Amino acid sequence: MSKYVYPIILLCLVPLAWAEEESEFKFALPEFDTEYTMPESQHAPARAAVWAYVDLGVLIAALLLAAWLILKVRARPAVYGLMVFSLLYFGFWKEGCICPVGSLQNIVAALADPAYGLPAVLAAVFFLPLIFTLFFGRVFCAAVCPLGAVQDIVALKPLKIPGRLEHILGLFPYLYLGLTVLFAALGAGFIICRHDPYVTLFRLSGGLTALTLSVLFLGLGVIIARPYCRYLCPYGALLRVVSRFTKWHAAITPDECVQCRLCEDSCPFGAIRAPSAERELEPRRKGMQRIGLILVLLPLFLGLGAGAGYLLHVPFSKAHRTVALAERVTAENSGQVEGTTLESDAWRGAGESPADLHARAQLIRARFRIGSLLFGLFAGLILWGKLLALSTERMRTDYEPDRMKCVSCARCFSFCPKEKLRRKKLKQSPQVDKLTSSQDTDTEVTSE
Amino acid sequence: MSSSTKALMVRTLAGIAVIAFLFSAVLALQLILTYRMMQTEDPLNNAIIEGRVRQLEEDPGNAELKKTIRELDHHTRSAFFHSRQRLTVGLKLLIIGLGILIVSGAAAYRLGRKPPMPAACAGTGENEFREARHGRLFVAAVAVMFVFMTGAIVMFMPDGLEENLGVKQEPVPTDDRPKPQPVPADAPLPSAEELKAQWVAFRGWQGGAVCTDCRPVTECDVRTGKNILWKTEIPAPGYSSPIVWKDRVFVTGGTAAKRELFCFDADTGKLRWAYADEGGQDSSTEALRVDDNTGYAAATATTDGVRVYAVFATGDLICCNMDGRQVWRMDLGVPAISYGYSSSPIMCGRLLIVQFYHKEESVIFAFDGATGDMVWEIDRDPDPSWSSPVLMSMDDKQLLLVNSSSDIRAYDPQTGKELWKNDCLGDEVGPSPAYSGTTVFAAQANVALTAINAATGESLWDTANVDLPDVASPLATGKRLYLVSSGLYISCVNPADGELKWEQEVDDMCYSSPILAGENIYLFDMEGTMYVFKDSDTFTLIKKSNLNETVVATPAFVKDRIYVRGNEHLFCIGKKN
Repeated sequence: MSKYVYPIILLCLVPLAWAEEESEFKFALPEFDTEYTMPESQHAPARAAVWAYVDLGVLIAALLLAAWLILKVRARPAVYGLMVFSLLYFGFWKEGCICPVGSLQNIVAALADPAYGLPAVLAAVFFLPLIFTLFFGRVFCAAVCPLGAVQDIVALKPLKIPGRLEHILGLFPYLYLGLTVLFAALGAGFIICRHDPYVTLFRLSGGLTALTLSVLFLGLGVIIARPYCRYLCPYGALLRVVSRFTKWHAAITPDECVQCRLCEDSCPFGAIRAPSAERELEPRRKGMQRIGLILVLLPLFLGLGAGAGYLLHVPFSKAHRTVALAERVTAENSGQVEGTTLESDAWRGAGESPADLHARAQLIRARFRIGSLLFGLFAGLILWGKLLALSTERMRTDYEPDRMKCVSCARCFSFCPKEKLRRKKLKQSPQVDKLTSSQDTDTEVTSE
Repeated sequence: MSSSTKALMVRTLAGIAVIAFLFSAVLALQLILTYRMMQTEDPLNNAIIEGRVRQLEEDPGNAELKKTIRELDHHTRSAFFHSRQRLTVGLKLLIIGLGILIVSGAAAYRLGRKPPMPAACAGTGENEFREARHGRLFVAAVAVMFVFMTGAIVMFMPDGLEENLGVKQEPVPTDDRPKPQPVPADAPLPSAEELKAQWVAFRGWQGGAVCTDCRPVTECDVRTGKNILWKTEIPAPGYSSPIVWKDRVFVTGGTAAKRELFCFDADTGKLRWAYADEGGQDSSTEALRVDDNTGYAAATATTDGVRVYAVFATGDLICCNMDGRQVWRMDLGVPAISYGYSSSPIMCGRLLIVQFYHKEESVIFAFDGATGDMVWEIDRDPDPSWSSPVLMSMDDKQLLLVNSSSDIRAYDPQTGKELWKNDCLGDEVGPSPAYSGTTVFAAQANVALTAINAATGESLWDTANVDLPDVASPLATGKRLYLVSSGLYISCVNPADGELKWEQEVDDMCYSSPILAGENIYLFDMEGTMYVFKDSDTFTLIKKSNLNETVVATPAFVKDRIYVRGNEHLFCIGKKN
C-alpha cells in the first residue's frame, strides 16, 4: 500500500496549489477614498420559454428511447448509456430540474389552490412518465430519472435485503407521498425538493446538512441498490401502482422460461419473483379465515390512522411558515425565548397585529386538522392494504419480474440463456439444448 | 480473452479503484476541513477587524490603524476566497475521483464475477411464503410503532400557539371571601360633588388635574418616614396612576401572563384584594409586544363610585365591583400601537368612555358602566394616540375632548356627536388636553401649543416658543398654564396670549403630569423628586423632597393626602396624626 501513498499526496496537492495560484490577489487592497463609481446592476435575461419545450422534447425522446431499448433491443449497456446521458443532461446540466418527481407537488398545489399557476409543460412533465409506465413499465425509473441514474451507477456491491424488511421499507414511499400531498396542498412547502439527497451533487452547492445527506445516500447506494427509489421516492410510489397495469412490461426471458434459475439473484432490487414452491398449500379455510380477520381489522386501522393523523396536525402545521412565525412571536412575547429572528423582525416591521397573525395561523392549523386526519386515514389504509396483500398468494409457474418493484433496468436479461441465444452469444451445443429445453440446472453455462 | 489477461485486468482495475478511493477519501477530508475553515474566516464578521474599527472610531486620525485594518481586511478576504476556490476545484476533482472509482470498480467486479451457479435445491417460492408470514407481523408492528411515534411526536412538539404556553402561572389563592351580592344595574351613583371630592380618574375629576379643596403636605422624607403614612409593595409592574374612592386606592399592574387590578386600604396600605384577568378567548392574551416603558398596565383605572373599570395593553376591558368581583369584561381586540396602549378611560355619569385609537382603527366607545352594553361609538380613520380623553363642563353642557395624532376634537359625551375639531396636533401625541374657563389647550412636542375656543373650536393663538411636552399633560389653573417638557423644563405661560411667564429647570425628566392641589402645584420627576411650587407669575419653590424611587405615574390627591405610585411601591403622603 505504501507505494500508493506518495502519488496520492501529490495528486491531492496539485489542485490545491493551482487553486492558490488562481486566487492570489484576486481582490485588491481596499481603498476607502476612491473615485470609483458603482456600475449599474445587471440582470440576466429570463430564460427563453422555448427551452422548456426543448427540455420536454428531450424527456419524451429519452422515454421513447428507453422503452425501445428495454422492450425491443433488451440491451443493458444501451440502457446504461441512456442512463448516463440522463444523469448528465437532467442531473448535472439542468441541475435536477425539470423533475417529474418534484412536479407532483406543483400538481397538488395547483389542485388545492386554483390561483396557483401551473405551466402546461410542467403538467406534461408530471404525466408523461405515468403514461409511459402504463404502456411500457417503469422506463422512466430505468434510464431517464437522474435520481435513479446516480443511484444505479453507484450500486457497486448491492446486498440482498431480506423480504420481510423489504415489505416494511416499501411502505415508506406511500407515507412520504401522503405527507408530500398534505404539505404541498396546504402551502407548507415542497418537501421532496427540500429533502432531495442528490440535488447537492447536481448543483455542486449546498449547506453542510444537504451535503451530508448526499454523501450518506451515495454511500448507502453502494451496498443498497437505489435506496431512495425503493424506500422513499413518492413519485416512484405512484409509478409502482400504475406499473401493475402496464400493457407491455419487460420480461426476463424473450421466450419461454426454462426455469434455469440463472436469473434468480441477478436483480439487486429483489424484484424477481420465483415460481410458487411445490409444497402442500395451506387449507383454503385457514386462508379465508385470515383474510376475514384482516377485513374485520379495516375499521381499526382506519380509526387508529385517523386518530394518529388528527393528533399530528399540530406538529405538521409547524412546517407552515405562518404557524412557525406565530409560534415564534408568541414565544418571544411571552419571554420563553430570547432575541428575535429575521422572520419575526420582518413581521414586526410590517406592522401586523399579533391577533391577526394568530388568527391566520389558527386558520392554517384548522386546515391541517382536516388534512392530517385524511393523511392518517391514508396511512391506515396503506398499512391495512399491505397486510391484505401479504395474506394472499398468487400462483406463478415461471420466474417473472414483480411489476411494482421492477424498474426495468435490464440487468436480468443477460442472465437468461434464451436471451443469449437470441443475441447469438451462446453456441448451439447439446448441453445448451438440454439447458434451454429442460429445468435441469446441473450444467454450468459458459458464455462466449 | 485468456484467463491470465483477464486476471491482470481485474487486478489493474481493482488497483485503480483503490487509488481512486483513497484519493477521494483524502480529498473529501480536505474539503470538509476547508469548509470548516471558511466558517471561521467570514470576512464580514471578523472580531479582530471589528475591534480595530472600534479603536478607529475613538481615534479617527490614526493613519497606522487604518493601514492595519486595510491589511487585515485584505488578508481575511484573501483567505476566504482562497478557501472557496479550493472548495470549487476540490469538488470537481472529487467527482472525477468518484467517477474513476465507480467505473474501475464496476469493471473489475464485472470482469471478476463468476457465472451464476444456483443452488441445487429449489425453494425460493417457499421462502417467499415464509417471508410474507413474517411480513404480516412486521406490518402489524409498524402499525403499533406508528401510533407510539405519533404520541411521542405530539408530546415533544407542543402547541406553540396555546395561550400562556410555558409561562409560569402563579398559584391563585383560594378565595374564601363571602360571595357578595351582585351590584344592581340600576344602583344609584354618587353625586358629582361626592365624585369630585375623590380622585376617580387619571388626573382626577374629569381629568382636570385640579383639586382646589385639597391641602396636602408640601414635604416628605422616606428615610425618616416624615409624612409617609404608609408604603406598600405593588405585586405587579405598571405605569398607571392610582385612583381613590373613599377608603380604597386602586392601581393596575400586568404581565404577559395576566393583568391585575389591585385594591389597597387607603388608611393602612394593606392589599384588600386583587382581581386577576387572564384574558378572554378572542384576542386579549394573544401574542403582544409592549414597550418596556409602557408595559401591560399603563392606562389608569376609573370609577363611578360603585364599580371600577380598567383597560389593559391587551385590549381587555374589565369592570369589577368594589369587592373585586367581576361585573363584566370585554375584549376590545389587541390594539396595534407602537410602545403599547396607554389611554385611560373616563366616566361621564353612567357612561364609561374609552378612547381606543391605534394603527388599524380609531374608535371611541361609550359603554353603559353597569352592564357593559355599548351606548354609542365613533369610528374614525386610524389615527393612533397615547393621550387620554378629558371632560370639560361649560355653561350647562359637557364636552368630551380627545387628542389624536393629527387633531383635537370635541364631542357631546352623551351622544357621541362631533362638535368641532381643530387640526393643531401632529406627531405621536402623548399629552392629554387641558382647559380652563372657555379655553382648551392642546400641546405636543415638535408641533405647538394651541389655545382653542371651546365653543367654536377656533384657534385663539398658538406658539412654539416654549418647551413643549411629549408625555406629561399641561395644567391649566385659570390664570396660568403650565407645561412640563421631557427636556427638563417647567414652563409657565399666560393662557391669554401664550406669552412665556417663566421657565425653570428640574433635575430629571418628567413623565408625571403636574397637579394643582390647593394653591400649590405638585410635580414628580422620574427620579422620584417631588417639587412643590406656588401657582404664581414667578417660580417660587416651596419644597423639594425625594421618594428614592422612580415615579412615572401621576399622583392622586384626596383631602390632605397624596397617593403616589413608584416603580415598586405605592406611597401615601400625608400628615400623621
